[in-house]
Amino acid sequence: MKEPSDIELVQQVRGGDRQAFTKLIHRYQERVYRLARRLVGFHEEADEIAQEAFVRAFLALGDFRNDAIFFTWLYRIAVNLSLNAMRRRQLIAYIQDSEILRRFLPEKEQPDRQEEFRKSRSSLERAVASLPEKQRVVFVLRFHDQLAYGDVSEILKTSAGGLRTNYVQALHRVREYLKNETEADKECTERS
Amino acid sequence: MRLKQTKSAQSEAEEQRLAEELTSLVQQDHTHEDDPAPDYWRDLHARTNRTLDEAASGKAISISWAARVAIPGVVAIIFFFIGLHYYVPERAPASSSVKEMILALGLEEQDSLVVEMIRSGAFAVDAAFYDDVFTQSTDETVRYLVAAGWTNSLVATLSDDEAEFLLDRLRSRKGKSF
Repeated sequence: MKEPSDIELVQQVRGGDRQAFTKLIHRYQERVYRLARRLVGFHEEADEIAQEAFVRAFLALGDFRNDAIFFTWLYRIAVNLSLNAMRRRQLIAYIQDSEILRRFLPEKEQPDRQEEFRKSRSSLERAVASLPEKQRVVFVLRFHDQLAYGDVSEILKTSAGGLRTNYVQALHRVREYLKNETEADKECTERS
Repeated sequence: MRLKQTKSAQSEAEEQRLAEELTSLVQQDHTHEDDPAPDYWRDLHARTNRTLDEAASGKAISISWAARVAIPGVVAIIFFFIGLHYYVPERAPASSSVKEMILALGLEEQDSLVVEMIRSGAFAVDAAFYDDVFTQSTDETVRYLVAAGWTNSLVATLSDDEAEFLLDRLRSRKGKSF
């Protein structure tokens, strides 16, 4: 039996069929989770974002235009949620980084998620995390998800013109990061 | 027109070359993205449906209401710490108290602040601290709040726009790149 298309499922949800939305969750949950995970870097946050993206999509389905593409719309929600989570983490880091706050905590109790991140992530994840916000999003959508510029432009609601520049810059940076890390590892091995 | 087309073709070729080079580097890399356990996907689907049920009920509304009510007090507290950090670093922290700071807020903000702190569980751990909140020195208060992971719950109650606004303010003040 032919699988219903996204738009057919959306119409069924609008008609009150909640099971149709479950099918959409099944279809996209892994992609949405991986997108969020690559942007925010942490499993717990990506998990929350994946759930929240579907909840927001479900609640806003009434605003969804029939001529739009469901997955770019869902991706847009997930990207926005991820950007907000990244900004909150920067804000927390900024406040915790304050001299005043650090003075009150013994060294071992000071929160250091950066250290946790460095130890437990792949080289590529660390390289992606070092990119500026926009380059990071464009890189994840192009390199990992292999999306066309038209789709990236639709998701980010930005003109396609500057996207390639952003992506090429991101590719350069990630490549340099990985090369530097490989060389540092080699030096370390040779020394030991 | 022709120059534009040539440039675009060059850029496309550069992109392809870099992407291929990077793919090869990634394949040589010994570290890998850690994947969630296979059960995770089934569980995620079930939890998403549960969250959807909650969102469709009144529960979510009350949480967002609490967050909205608490925001003025929370923002004031954050700005207080930023103020301490940037404008009075030489002064002993104990010289101004949380009591002074809270009393400087309007009545509505004071209420919101206390409601939010109780809601976030910051005081649930130590009832004695709650009873005595207005007489603690700044040193003790800050030590307690930071140790209780207070910064996280505090930032979590800000709206997305407020968090972004505050971050922009901090960036422009300190000129620090993230």
